[in-house]
Amino acid sequence: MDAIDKVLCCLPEYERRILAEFFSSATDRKKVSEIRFRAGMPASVTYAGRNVSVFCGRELVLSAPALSSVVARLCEESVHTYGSTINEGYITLADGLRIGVCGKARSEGGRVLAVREITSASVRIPHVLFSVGDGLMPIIYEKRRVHSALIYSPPGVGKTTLVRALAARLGGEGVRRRVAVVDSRGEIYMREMFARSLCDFLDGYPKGAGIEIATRTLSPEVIVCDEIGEGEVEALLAAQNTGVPLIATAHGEDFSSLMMRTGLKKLCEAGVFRYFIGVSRAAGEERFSFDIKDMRRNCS
Amino acid sequence: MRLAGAFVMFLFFTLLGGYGGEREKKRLAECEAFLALFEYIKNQVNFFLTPTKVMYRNFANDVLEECGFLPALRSHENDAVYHDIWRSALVSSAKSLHLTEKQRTLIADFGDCIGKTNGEIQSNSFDYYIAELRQEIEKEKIEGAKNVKLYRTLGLAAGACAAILII
Repeated sequence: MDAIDKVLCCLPEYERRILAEFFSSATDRKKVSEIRFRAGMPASVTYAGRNVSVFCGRELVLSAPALSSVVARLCEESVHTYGSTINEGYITLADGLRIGVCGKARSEGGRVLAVREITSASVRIPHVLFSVGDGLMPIIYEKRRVHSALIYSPPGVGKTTLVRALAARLGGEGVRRRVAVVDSRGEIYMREMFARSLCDFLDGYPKGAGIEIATRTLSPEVIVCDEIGEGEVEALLAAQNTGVPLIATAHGEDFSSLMMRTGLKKLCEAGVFRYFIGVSRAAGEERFSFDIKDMRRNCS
Repeated sequence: MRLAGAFVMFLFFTLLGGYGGEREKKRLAECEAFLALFEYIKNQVNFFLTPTKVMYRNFANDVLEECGFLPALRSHENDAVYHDIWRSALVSSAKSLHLTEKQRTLIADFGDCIGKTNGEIQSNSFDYYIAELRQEIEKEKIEGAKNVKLYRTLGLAAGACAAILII
């Protein structure tokens, strides 16, 4: 059962029938990147980069209680287990299936204490794509050495997919490096991709603590971390001192906007990353385009 | 021949009375077993945030084991899609349970609260159902004891009447 089937099984009968018809008639499942439900508003499917909201001539509108029920079913009726991450806006299920959620929150002192009603849920469909990292492998893994790299792009381009493929390649057949993956949101791990790799997953660890624990206790040959921010700068600088190469991702439109963020600029100046790799992808395309900046070459 | 027939009838009605009493005892045992399960689930949700799918793994109770309710709950641990398992387990073990309609509804409603909302709301709902089931148990203890005696006496009396009539 793939992620789309799992979502369909959690829907009410009518909605399930219509979406199943849509997925079976005209779509290549590999091109589906997201299914989004909104309470009292039309559901949409992001297919080949386009948002589709009319399925076989009909719109799907879920009520707020129906949406809460769908989310509970997707969580395998364990909403309590995901309480803290729901407050942070996401739920990560098995095999990298991630649901972004928002709704009516109860907040205090800038912190969300509880979400009392979920009004939107976007299910991001993970895909097993080993080959997406092919273009970057010769740069990151060169002459049996792994080089540090920061991969950046705006949200939704596929940084997590890319970093997942790279981690699987570095820990898998041929390269066989011990890779520590700091998977704070549990969205990198997919059983199918890592079944035979030498990757260790720090699932649910805060990124800074995860990087520190990985360098101290796991003697990794590569550290992989998704979506680094200001909070991880110190841990990344400390990791750099151990000489372990780091592959990380960050949100950013281009290199100059990246350098406007103090923490990332500090990392750049400290030489933590050899490569800064901008990623883009045409709508609906599987293939990535890379804008690679070699900091060593730039320095010399 | 008549004496033998009278004895058989007497025995039949006495056993029937005894069976009625046994049902009462079983009902009480089942209510107490479900109460233990409710408390266990509340702890698992409150303190350990255990996923519902694996929650029942470490709960041991002979009564719920024998009636098939716990095995039915556990049998779905590896399902790719997991929902409405509590109700289906209750339906599948319905024939082995001796609960009243009210108790059955209460237990089914408790299951509807598991995992559908955040821990705090669940905990409040659990408290409500635990209190309700406690009340049911108290009622069952008082009425059950009365009923056991009543069934036994009725069985004996009906058996004696039947025997006298036959003789």
